[in-house]
Order: sequence, then structure tokens, then C-alpha cells
Amino acid sequence: MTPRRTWLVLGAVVVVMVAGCVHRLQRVTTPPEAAATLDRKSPFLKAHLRDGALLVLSSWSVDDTARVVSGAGTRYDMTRAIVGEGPHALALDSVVLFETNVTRPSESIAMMSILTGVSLGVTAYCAANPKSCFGSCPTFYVTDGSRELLQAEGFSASIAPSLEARDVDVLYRARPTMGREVRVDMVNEAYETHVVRYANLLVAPRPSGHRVLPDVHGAYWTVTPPAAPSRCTASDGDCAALLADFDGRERLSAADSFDLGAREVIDLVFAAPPAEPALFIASRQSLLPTFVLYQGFSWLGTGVGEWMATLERRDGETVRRLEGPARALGGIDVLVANAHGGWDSLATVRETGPLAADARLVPLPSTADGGPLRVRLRLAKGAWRVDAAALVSRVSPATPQRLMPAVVLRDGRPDEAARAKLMDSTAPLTTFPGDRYTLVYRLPGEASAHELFLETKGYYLEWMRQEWIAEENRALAASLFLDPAGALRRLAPAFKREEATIEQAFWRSRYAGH
Amino acid sequence: MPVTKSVLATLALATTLAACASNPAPRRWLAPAREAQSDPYGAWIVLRGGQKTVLTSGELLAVEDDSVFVLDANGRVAAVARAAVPSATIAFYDGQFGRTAAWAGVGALSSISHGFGLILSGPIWILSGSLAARADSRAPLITVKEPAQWVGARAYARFPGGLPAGLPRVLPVKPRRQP
Repeated sequence: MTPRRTWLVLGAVVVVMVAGCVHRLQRVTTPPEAAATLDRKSPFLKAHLRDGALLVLSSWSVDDTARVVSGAGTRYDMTRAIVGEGPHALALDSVVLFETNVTRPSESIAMMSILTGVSLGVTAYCAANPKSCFGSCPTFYVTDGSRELLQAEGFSASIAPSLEARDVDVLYRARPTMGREVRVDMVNEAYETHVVRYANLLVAPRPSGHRVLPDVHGAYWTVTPPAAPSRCTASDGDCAALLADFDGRERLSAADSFDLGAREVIDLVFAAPPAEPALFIASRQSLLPTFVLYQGFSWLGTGVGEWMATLERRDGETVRRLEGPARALGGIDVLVANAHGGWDSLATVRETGPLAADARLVPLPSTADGGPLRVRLRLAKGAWRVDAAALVSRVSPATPQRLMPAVVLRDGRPDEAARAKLMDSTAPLTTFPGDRYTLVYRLPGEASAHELFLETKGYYLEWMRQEWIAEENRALAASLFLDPAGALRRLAPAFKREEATIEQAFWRSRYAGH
Repeated sequence: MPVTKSVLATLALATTLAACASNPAPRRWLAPAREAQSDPYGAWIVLRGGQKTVLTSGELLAVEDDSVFVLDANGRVAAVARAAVPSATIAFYDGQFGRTAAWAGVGALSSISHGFGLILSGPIWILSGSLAARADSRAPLITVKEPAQWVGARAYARFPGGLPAGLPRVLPVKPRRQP
């Protein structure tokens, strides 16, 4: 915990302790004939006498039979000068009114206490696990017909200007409801600066009963609906139903306890493959790669700026080292069984980012005899959330049409300046935490008859945080980039300690605004 | 992010305090709730005439059928006709809502440590703190706006049973509490 945060927590504790003393007072006056109803919880009994004098009694009691009130306390005259102290007893008849005062803790204290407990819990978690509470990239929301759904994260791997890249995301679950119009909300949800060169919509006519999807080489295909594997086996058992379609139900295994780079395999069998088969795979990263990236930032500490500057100079060695941890974690390797009992590697699917799953096709070879097609996925344990691994048939190539935003809204009002920046790739749109733009696209036909893809280009800059500097350790940073495989082994225990709660904490902290 | 912190702290403080009702009693005149249990004096009262102009203020001595008796800051007993007082505010203890407001302020500031959760926890702190401080600031106050409400106001007077006979016209004023 940083010294600043320690002081903040200590300050909060002191304030809570002091504020815990806030009480409310309830006063009741009672005539002597109703002395039996006096509130015994009152620590003091005030007896107002007929001559204006006042007895303030502690340890008081009322004898209803003898009609006497007694106790120890102070007697005041009408000017409130003290005229006697000690034990007192007086007849009820001499009293005009009794007064009791009972305190109770303020109701607001209970509410504030609960809020403080929750708040301190989040603070403690974020202090202990800063890498699970922050982090993002531009996020895009499109309706699925009933709610705004996070469907894409733009250029997730572009964490520096020199890494600026184009990214295409399939808006597979988009169900626009406004005729020819499609609205996409672009949001900056983290402590980052997002520089967006463009955000276009690619649209391709979708024949009834078919889908249009890109393959790993960038070509688009009209395909038949995904067919579930006949058999799907992994270390955790049967996964055929889970991976049947891109429906938000994902498979995620636990990371290896000793090596974050350790691989696992998922074996798929498709009993009756079509003539032009392709594997339809939808996936996103888990928070394991995010953890590793932020651990790198953390160890670099104040040296991040220097490191980023080196990166900007396009120092080849630095770039190669940067890619080291990502290479060690790897993507999802797609392999197909060959006739010799081995496996042939076809492609590696990589979609950077833990927020929104993306989909790709991996063309598969046709089986000579039309027999079963056996496909193997090889991936780092606990590093990938696989939503779908199904089989489609490529029907025909497709060519999407590019659409720029017709209108850009900010806070519900047209923002022509923002739109101009998204139209002119030489003057990008820069967004800051909390910024939200609605991009409106007008399609040539009914949106429901088109497949939609989001094409973005840009980069984003993480805001360096105090928690990261606190962990600065150049030796460990060097080990991550010089010996990434070894670093993944050394990081395994730290990640395993957080693995059970990291997803929940990340989503809770990051998506609080929705 | 000094700008974020200062904006948040200012917003929290401004929102919290804006929602609060100020206690009309002079500083350190009223005791906090626990000490007020044994305080032998009456509550502080502010009597207002038409247009809410302050007629007088001081310790509430007694409420009679036609008059309100107040001990002003100079120790003089003043009798004001109830008919001339459309409204009055009585404060009978120090609610210490500043502590609640400080709690809310520190809480809002602490939400900076919640990462992006600040977007939710910051406003929750400000809203909850404002409501809590508002409630605590109003708890010690009794407002009299109708003639019938004067009956309930008697409980907060030095002499809830009525003005005693032979009360001097000049009395020692209640000493203020030590800081």
C-alpha cells in the first residue's frame, strides 16, 4: 500500500471513529401522575419543580406506591445556580413535569457504516490487486435487440502510438432495431487516453439462413450456420454443447499452478464435414494476459516512459522483447489430424483483449473420404475464454461495404467536430475517461439483412498509476522481457492467488458505470 | 490526478453542505446529544415575524398560552406574543452533522482508490453523505409553523411546566461550552 493510500485509509478510520459518536436525542415530558410510564432507558431524570427549580437525577427510581422519586444528582434553582448535590428524594406531588432524554445512534451512521465497509473492501482489494481493478481499451456497445451489449473492443493491442493498428471485430450478436440505421456507442471506460483514427462499419448482405464471417487471412465468406462438434473433449470433460455456438457461454480452464505458459488441448471431432469446411472459432483473452502486461508495467515503474520512448523509436530489439511475453502465452493454435497419426498446424487465432469476444474462420482441408474431421485446439491454460468452436461450410466469398458514421452524437447532441475527426484519418479523435460517443451509420438496406463488422484504427495510452510505481523492480522487469517463459513460471503463484476473484473484481470495478 | 481529487472533494463538500440545515444556536452554546441529556437549560429558539424577519432569539424559557418567554443574549427576559410569531425554530442539541459531512467527504475522496469504480462509488458517497448529513443536521431542529405546534414546543423550554412565579426579569445566561 502506498504511503498516500495508507494516510487515506487511516484518515478514513479516524473520521469514522469520530463520526461514530454522532447521536440523536429524543426528549419526552411526563406528568407525575404518569410516572410509571417513564422511560427507564434515560440515564438522567429531570424533575421540573413548581418553583422553577430542577433536579437532574442519575441512578434514579420512582416508587409509585410511596409516590416518591429518588436518586443522586444536582439541584438547580430557577436561575440554574447549583443549590445542592448528592442523594435526593422528593414527593411526586412537588413535581410539575418529568423529563427524560434518550440518545440513540444516528440512523445515518448505519447507512454510512455499510457504505464505508463496502468502500474499504474495494479499496483494500484494489490496493492489494491493482492490476485487476483497472485496464481497458476503447469499447463498443451495440444492441442485441433487448439491451446494449459490449460487442467489440477496438485495437486492444495498440498500447503505444508506434503500435497503432487496424482492428476488425465481428458484431455477431448485433440485432439493430432501427430499420436501416445502426447505432454504436464508443466509450472510454478506463484511465486511458484513446486516440481513434477511424471507426467504420463494414456491412455485407447476409442471405437468409446464412452468416458472413472473416477468416484468419482477412477474406470474408458467406457460410452456413455453425454446426456443433460431434465430440469435444478437454481436460475438464465434454465441451460440445458449450462450444456449439457464439452465445456468450464460454469455456475457461484454470491456469497452471507452476507455469502460466503451460498448454492444454481441446480435441474436436466433426462427423460429417462439408465440402468446404471451416472452423468457426469465437474467443477472447482471460485476464491472465492482462495481469502479465500490467505486472510488466508495474515492474518497469517510473521506467515505463523511457521504455515507451524506446518503443516509439522503433528500436527493433525493444519491439521483439515487448512481444516476448505475448509469444510465450501464445494464441489458440488450430491443428488438424493428418494421415500419419500426427497433427498439422493450420493457423493461430489471436484476438487481444479480455472484454469482447471476436470470431474468425479457419479454413480446414476436406477429408478425402468424407470421413470425420479431427481438429485440435492448443492454448495456454487459463488464458483464453472460448465461446464457440463449430463447423461451417464456406458457400461463397463476400465483399463488405465500408460505411463511415453519418452522425456522431455526444450527450444526445450532434458533434460535428468529432465526426469530422473520424472522417479524416490525419486528425484523430482523442477521448478521455468517461467520454461516450454514439456513432450512427446508415445502411443501404435493412440492417437485419446485413452482417456487421466494426473496423477501427488507433492506439491508446495507459495512465501510469501510483500502485504500479510502488512495485518498481527493474530486475524483474528485465526478466519478463529477456526470459518471458521463465517469468511466466515465476508469476504463476501470484496469479493463482488472485485467479478466483480477479474476473469478478475486474468487471465490478470497471463496469460500475453501466 | 490532483484535478480529479480536488474536483471530487469540492463537489462532495459542496453537495453535502448545500443539503444541510444550519443550527441557529450560537457556536458552543448547545451540547451534543449525550451531554444534552443532563443540561438544565432550555433550547435555543429563533422567533420570526412576517417576511421571516427575526424578532428575537435566545434560550427558550417557557411557552404560555398567549406568550413565548425568551432569555436573550444579554440576560433579559423577553415576552413575545404568540400571535406575533408566525414561525419559530428550536434547536435543542448540537447534531454534529459536520462529522457526518467529513465522513462523507473522506469517503468520496477514498473512492479515487476504486479505479474505474469511482464512476459509481464517487456519486454514491456524495449522494449518501448528503442525505446522511442533511438528516443529522435537521434532527435537533423543531419547527413551529402552526399555533397547535406550540404545545409540543413546551418540552424544550427551561420551564416546560410554565413560567414560575417570581422569576427575575434578568437572569444569568447559559455559559458556553469550552472549546
